[in-house]
Amino acid sequence: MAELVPLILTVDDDPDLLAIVEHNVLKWGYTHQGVSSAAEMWEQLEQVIPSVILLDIQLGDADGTALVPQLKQRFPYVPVVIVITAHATIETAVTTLKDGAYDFICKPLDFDRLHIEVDRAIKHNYLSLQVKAFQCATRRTDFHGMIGRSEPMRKAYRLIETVAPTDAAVLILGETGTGKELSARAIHECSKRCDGPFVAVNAPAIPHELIESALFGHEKGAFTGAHQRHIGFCEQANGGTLFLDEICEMGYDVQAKLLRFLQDHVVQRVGGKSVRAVDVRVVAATNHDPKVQIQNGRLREDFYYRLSVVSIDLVPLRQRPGDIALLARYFLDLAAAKYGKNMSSILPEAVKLLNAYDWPGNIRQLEHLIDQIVITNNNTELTVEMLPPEVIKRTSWDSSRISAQIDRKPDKTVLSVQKMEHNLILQALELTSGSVSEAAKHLGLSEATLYRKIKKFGISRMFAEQQ
Amino acid sequence: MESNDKTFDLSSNQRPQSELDSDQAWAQLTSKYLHNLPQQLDEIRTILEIKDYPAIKKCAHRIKGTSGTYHLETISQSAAQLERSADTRDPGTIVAVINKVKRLVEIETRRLDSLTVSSIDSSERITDG
Repeated sequence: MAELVPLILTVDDDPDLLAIVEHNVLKWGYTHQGVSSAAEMWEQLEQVIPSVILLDIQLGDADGTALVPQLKQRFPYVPVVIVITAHATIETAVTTLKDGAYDFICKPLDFDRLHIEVDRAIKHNYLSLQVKAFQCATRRTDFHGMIGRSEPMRKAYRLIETVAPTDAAVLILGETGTGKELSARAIHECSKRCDGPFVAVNAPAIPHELIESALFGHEKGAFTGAHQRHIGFCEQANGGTLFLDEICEMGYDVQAKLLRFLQDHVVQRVGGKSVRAVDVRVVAATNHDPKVQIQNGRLREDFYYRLSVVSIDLVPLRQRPGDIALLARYFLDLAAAKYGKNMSSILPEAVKLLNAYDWPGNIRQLEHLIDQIVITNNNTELTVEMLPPEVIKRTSWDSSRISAQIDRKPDKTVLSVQKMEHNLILQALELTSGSVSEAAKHLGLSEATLYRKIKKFGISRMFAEQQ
Repeated sequence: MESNDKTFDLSSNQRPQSELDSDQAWAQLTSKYLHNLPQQLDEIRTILEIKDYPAIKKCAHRIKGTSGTYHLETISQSAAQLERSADTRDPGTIVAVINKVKRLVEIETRRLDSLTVSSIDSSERITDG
């Protein structure tokens, strides 16, 4: 917002007045848009979000006082409304203020005063957006920036709180975009090391030949190109937490050196002769199954056991559909505040589709999608039409498909217990629009048990069928 | 809600928005507005024929606010008088005030033209000197 030139939208049915207002507003360094009716105003507001609206109380096609509550409802915090009136009584002015008008100013317009009012309104608008962004970043977060109230997330929060005060190494497991770094930060913030540094190392981003030097540092002249001494990540994290992301992407040799570091808590810079003691807590993460990676020779077994004193499993987003709407609303508020937009709600049909999608890229994918929608739309509601085709079409579970799988025999036909169980599961999935966690609740089963039964009965996924 | 007692007088040094003295764009806009006003007054006269007094009041009200914003205070005051005449529904007074406003428009136009010419003359003298 700070970089954008504020836009002032003036609504007045007198073109001569619009001309003189525009002349002054442009002189003040703002941009201006003049419209002569309420209809034109609404049309304009579909295209742009102004910083301030200067609204005449007496328009040809509408009563300005009646427009104020409508504007405040549709644009609750971004646009500030100033009502311009030459004939208004104090009662009218008070009514519009009560309805949410920012202030009122009288005709004939005093442009010195109007300039002050507009400046104040722009600052008010900017601060409102800042407050909104701050509220989003604090009040709505559930646990150190991690959003989610589902049972798997609550379990993760409890584990983080339990393990954080200790100095035990932690291994965080989870698919890409499930919030592994955020969890590592939460461990750091809940620990006694919270005032120390948090150093995150993303192994795949560092060329293999440089990773040892990046981790442990090097002395000047240690190798070609080592023009000066470099302090490695392990030393940088002294007194704090070192987060090693994607450990399976580190070579076997580097894993061996890190293992030694975990055991001895000392580092030796490349090209250095002495060792230095460092006090670091290590939290690691991988998006692979470590047991499989050990079998494949990509993860040292001793390194894995050293790291996984405690392991935290972050479930993929599709296994906690109850959190999808919560996350989507959180990201929507955040993006609206960040980009100065007025999108403030998600229509139920869109929520349903978001819930049904399987989110292969997890939270990061959802965040990027909401960001993209907010940037490219000026509406106040997120609608189905704004969702990309893959979300609309590739839902994990589709009600019509589920419906078709239900064996609806005439009443007098006796079904086997197994067939009835099969049908009950399908009906529960149909009822909950494919939400496994919700269906599990209806059936009185745990989510894991329901997933097992779904697999057992071969209940097919819409996604798989469409491919 | 205080009244705006500023007058549009390019020759006066007492205008609070002194920066507007040299603002040619403002003068051009005012000239354009004065040029448009007689047409608006003719519209009021047409409306008077069908005796739509609320519509007359609305037009007069608009002229009052906009002319005041252009610092055309005498026109704004006469437009206020026209607005009050619409309330009393007296066609004779309405016609008289319309004519008065028209005369004021002519006076203001001439005054603005002369000030613009003298402004150009003085700027030319400065250039010549």
